[in-house]
Amino acid sequence: MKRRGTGLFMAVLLVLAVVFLGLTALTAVQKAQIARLEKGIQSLKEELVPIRFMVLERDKGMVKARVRLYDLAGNEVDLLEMTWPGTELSFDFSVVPAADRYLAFPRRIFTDRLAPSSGTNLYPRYDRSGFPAVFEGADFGRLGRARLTDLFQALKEDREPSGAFGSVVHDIARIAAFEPGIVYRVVVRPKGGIEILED
Amino acid sequence: MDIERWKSLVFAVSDAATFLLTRPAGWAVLGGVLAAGFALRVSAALRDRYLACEAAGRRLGAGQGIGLFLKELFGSLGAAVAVLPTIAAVLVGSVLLVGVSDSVRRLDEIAENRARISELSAVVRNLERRYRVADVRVLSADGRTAHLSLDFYDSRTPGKPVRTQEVSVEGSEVFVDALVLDFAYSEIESGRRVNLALPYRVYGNLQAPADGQELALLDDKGVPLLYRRAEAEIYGIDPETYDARLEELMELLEDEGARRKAGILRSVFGAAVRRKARAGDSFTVWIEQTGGLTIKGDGGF
Repeated sequence: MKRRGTGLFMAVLLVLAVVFLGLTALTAVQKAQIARLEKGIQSLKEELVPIRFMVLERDKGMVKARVRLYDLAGNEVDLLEMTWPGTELSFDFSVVPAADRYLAFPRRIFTDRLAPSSGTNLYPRYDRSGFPAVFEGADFGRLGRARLTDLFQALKEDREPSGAFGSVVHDIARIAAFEPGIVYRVVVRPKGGIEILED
Repeated sequence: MDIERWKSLVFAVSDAATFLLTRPAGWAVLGGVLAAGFALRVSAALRDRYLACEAAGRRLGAGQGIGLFLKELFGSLGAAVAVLPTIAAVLVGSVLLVGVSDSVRRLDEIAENRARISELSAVVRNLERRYRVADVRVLSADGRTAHLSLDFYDSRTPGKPVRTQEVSVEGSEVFVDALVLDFAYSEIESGRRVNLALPYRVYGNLQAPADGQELALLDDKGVPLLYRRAEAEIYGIDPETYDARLEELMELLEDEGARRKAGILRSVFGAAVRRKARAGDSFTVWIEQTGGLTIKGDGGF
């Protein structure tokens, strides 16, 4: 009788242990999934800032602005201060798919009164012996750097790689004009979208 | 008593058992209680013996006292051995209770995790979503001029275009320009809102954007035609409310102060996508819910 009771107890204990271990394993799997999802959400919202700019003044149909180009580590690559005819400032990028994200190469600046083809070409401003300096600050490896150099060369020769497209962001005078004296940043999202945010 | 109250009771008893049996502080509490009980028992025995000695006109000697202490000690140990089966049963019961309680807790955690996973999956889905803004077909292009056909879509009815327009631009590259409203991530993640793109102009690389072709997509109240619907097309909301909300949105767009106060818009800006124009090519313009416009999954080029 006593042995039966002990056996029953051991059986109940064993079942409880198995159930508990099973549930613990399931929660561990769930926690890993939650961590993966949270990381995924963070990476979807990730932002790269290749350009910050400030409109210095708008006068007599001209717009003067200071534009800074940055690399991936946030170091300044180039600074330009220019005046363009027009009121709305446009930043043109070449967006190229690469692995699971998109790379944005600043291409030119134009305005509502200046045709894109007559805009300020930005490629020479960050061309460092053929390598696009806006992609410094990250470890691409020798092969990655060579591929970026080739890609940049193709863009400079006006050959757009498969899946690439141009993306322009600008202000709209009557709805959302860039305020003089305020710093804005151009933000590149991993899915290829580009937007402008107040810094 | 509802199930939650039962669970709280079981958890409380289980936590107390775990504390007493597995933590040094718990062992100290248990030891303290046993020592206090033993001290009470010894002191009661000593007091009784002292009173008996006093009644007999004798003094309680130290040897007698030590003997009494040892007797009570062995008596207590004997009593403990006698209740050993009960102690064992209590321990077994505690182990089972802790096992059941921890399993119930794990089940609760699993249910919470499941809800969290479903919530996060919805967030990922909402962020990864993109909506078709326009399909562009290059009808003809000679490097100086491009003739295009544009089909515009509304995110609410992505299956069929709401409007088609043909335009001509100057140059070898086409720019499809739109007003973009990127809402706060909290709004996108929850699915309460979707980022909007309202195409308003098309131009080529050889012409200034201001000289581009305007798209007649706003009505006399400044509301985009893409969002103006016939009564039969609006479901679950009366047409007046629908129109009022659209006008509210447009007011929000035109009043930066109100926009900031509402705090729901992350950014409002102009955005254009650019593509080389080659006769016969086509591409689709998308609005990404993570922000900005893109061209993806097109059949041309």
